[in-house]
Amino acid sequence: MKPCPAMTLEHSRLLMKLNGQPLHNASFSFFQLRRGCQDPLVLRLQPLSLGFHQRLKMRGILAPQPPVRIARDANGKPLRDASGQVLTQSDRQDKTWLRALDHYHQQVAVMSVVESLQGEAQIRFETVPPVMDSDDGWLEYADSVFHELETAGFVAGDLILLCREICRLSNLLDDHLTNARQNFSLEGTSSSG
Amino acid sequence: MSPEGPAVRTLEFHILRVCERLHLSEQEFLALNYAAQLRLLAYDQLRIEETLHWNCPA
Repeated sequence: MKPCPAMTLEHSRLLMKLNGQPLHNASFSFFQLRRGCQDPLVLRLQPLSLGFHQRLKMRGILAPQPPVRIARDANGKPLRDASGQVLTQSDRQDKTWLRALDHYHQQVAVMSVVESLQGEAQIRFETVPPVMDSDDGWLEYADSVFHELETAGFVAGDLILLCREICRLSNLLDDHLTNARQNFSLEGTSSSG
Repeated sequence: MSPEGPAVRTLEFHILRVCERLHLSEQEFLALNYAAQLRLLAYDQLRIEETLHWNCPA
């Protein structure tokens, strides 16, 4: 991961104009990440696209399921329902599953950071992503980017802060739509015709 | 339509409407980046409102 010199927050107040009209497309934010005694890293984050979760599934990044065990009574005898079917229960204390769940959350966090940073021209990851959503290798890609982040000095807390901001930004669709609608009208005119 | 007025539609409804009107598959829409998705949703909303306005002017 290669960060470039930090920008100032003043940039977020500048409005790009087209033919003298402001473009209301500010659905991004500049997020200041403090890094020990170094200068803070200022990152341009954008909301996750509306197909993010579906794309994760297509890329094979799926939540692991807890193992299912047969429910037994105090004597070790399988429990059955009224129709005689053996009852089962998910084992949510299973250590292997808990580790896999942690790993899954890490991969989702990494993928959301990668997508949110797509508009940040100053940051590039060296790991090359697979070409198609249906290709293998997305799990390895997420792990490799995580190692890049670690090598660049990111800690778990940084990832949590970034994800929190990405979530906040991704839940502002109504506000972003209101702004986006203004791009279709000249300033100072009625939008209804 | 209920006596209270039209139901508030889900985001999924609006996405499917955009896809239907612009002849996109749902996959094509979901593959777009956020800014492009926002642009199409905003355009669709305005077109619907304008159609209603011209058909039933206040």
